[in-house]
Amino acid sequence: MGRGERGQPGDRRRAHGLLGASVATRTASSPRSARRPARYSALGLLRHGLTHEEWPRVWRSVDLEGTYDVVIIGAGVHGLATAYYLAANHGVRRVAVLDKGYVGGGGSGRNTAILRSNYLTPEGVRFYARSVHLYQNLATDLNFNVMFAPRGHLTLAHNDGSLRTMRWRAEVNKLQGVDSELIAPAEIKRLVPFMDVSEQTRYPILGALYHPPGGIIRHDAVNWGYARAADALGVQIHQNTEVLGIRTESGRVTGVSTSRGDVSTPVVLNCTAGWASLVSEMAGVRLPIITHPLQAAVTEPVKMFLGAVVVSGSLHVYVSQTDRGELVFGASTDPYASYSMRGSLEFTEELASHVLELMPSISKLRVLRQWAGLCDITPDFSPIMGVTEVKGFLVDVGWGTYGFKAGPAAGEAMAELVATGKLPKLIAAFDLARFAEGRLASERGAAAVGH
Amino acid sequence: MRPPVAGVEPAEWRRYLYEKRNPAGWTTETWYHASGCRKFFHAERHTVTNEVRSTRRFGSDHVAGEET
Repeated sequence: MGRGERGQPGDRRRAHGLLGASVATRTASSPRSARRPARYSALGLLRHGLTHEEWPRVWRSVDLEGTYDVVIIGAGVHGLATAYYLAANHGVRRVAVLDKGYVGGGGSGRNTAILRSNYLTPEGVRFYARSVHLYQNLATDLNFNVMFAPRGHLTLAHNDGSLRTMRWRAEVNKLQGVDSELIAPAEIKRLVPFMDVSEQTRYPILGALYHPPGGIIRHDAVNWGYARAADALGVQIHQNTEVLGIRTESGRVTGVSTSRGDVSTPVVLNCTAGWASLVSEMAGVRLPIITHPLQAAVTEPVKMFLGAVVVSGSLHVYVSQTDRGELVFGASTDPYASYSMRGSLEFTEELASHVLELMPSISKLRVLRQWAGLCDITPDFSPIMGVTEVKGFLVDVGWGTYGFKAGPAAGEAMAELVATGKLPKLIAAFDLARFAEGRLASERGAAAVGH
Repeated sequence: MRPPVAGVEPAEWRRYLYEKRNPAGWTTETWYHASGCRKFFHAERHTVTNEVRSTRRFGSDHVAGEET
């Protein structure tokens, strides 16, 4: 993983690819000084606990410059991971990450923080397995505690149809080397003792797809960890900087106009999830994306009782317990397109009734808060990564309900694409051209709940 | 707009099938009242606030293709 470049700015590969030769030369001759991040450690925590001195700022706040090698729109996990891997793996450090809000304020901070790789298509399984692998080592790589808890992941089957899909997924997963197996109700009961696996329920549980490497993570920590590590390598993060337009000249990107002034750049990467089609339209690129809200809720904290992540497609619900003891619930996307991030009573009512079908014993738990995030849904429930018809304008979008778990692998692959100009094999199946060429990668059976 | 059945490249059809409008603002849609009167109707809705500005009977003053 080429991490040797870190801290040795003089000794790294020259940037080529989409950046163009002139840019590559300039980057190589005047490297950005890589600041050494203040390392976090147990000893440091103890010292700060005793002295109560101020923690240093996690990332800088600097003025917007006039020129960058790469401009990334969207400071969520995808944008920040791409920026980090550009700097860490490829030595491309003149990178600006722009966001109209704050770091991790969109889908990256609104998801239910579930990680897994038990998808349906071989391309999907390989891609998400790479992401889970990167997540497993992320705390060490970023020197930031991202609190990954691989507790296991259960996808319940309540009818023959979903049981068949689970079997299909298990076999595809195993073929790709991913730990995944179909298990019987008795085994589910052993893993999650509070689950009602009896045959007396409205929707009896017939089995489940069990995926031991799956689990949950602290999503804010992932965003902050990437932001801090990218910043330490010279990447600039600009919050409250809205992109108002993307400038092109004869089919090639020349820069962006922002609420804080104009910036010229040969490469613009769109990592804006729910807002992806609006940002792409600025460059004249149309995407096959519809934005739907997805709601989630969290209960008051209770003693740890739920070991695994539990998902039920038929009951439109997934639930996990955080390290703090709160139960986090998510559902399927709202049935109509919207950019609204308000919660609704219908959602809470339906969610509660479905959760209680599975775990009647938690009926006294109170919901603390609910929220919504925006999902950029594609026709085949697979993402869109790669180049567009506008040269220098790249997309990493279409992340629907599965974007957070993909952040590291998408960032790594997009960074490689920007730096080398070659489309990595791992994401070749997810290009924009697949819609025009009729080779869709359908993940409908494994991407989300309630379809 | 739906392309004609004959004499059109497959790419044109795919554009029609996949490239939907995804506006952040006022949009005119056709809704179906599934759990009530089971009627189709048109509504002007703001996709950011979910405010509904107007509704009208199905087929009346409807600009064809507006919501595609």
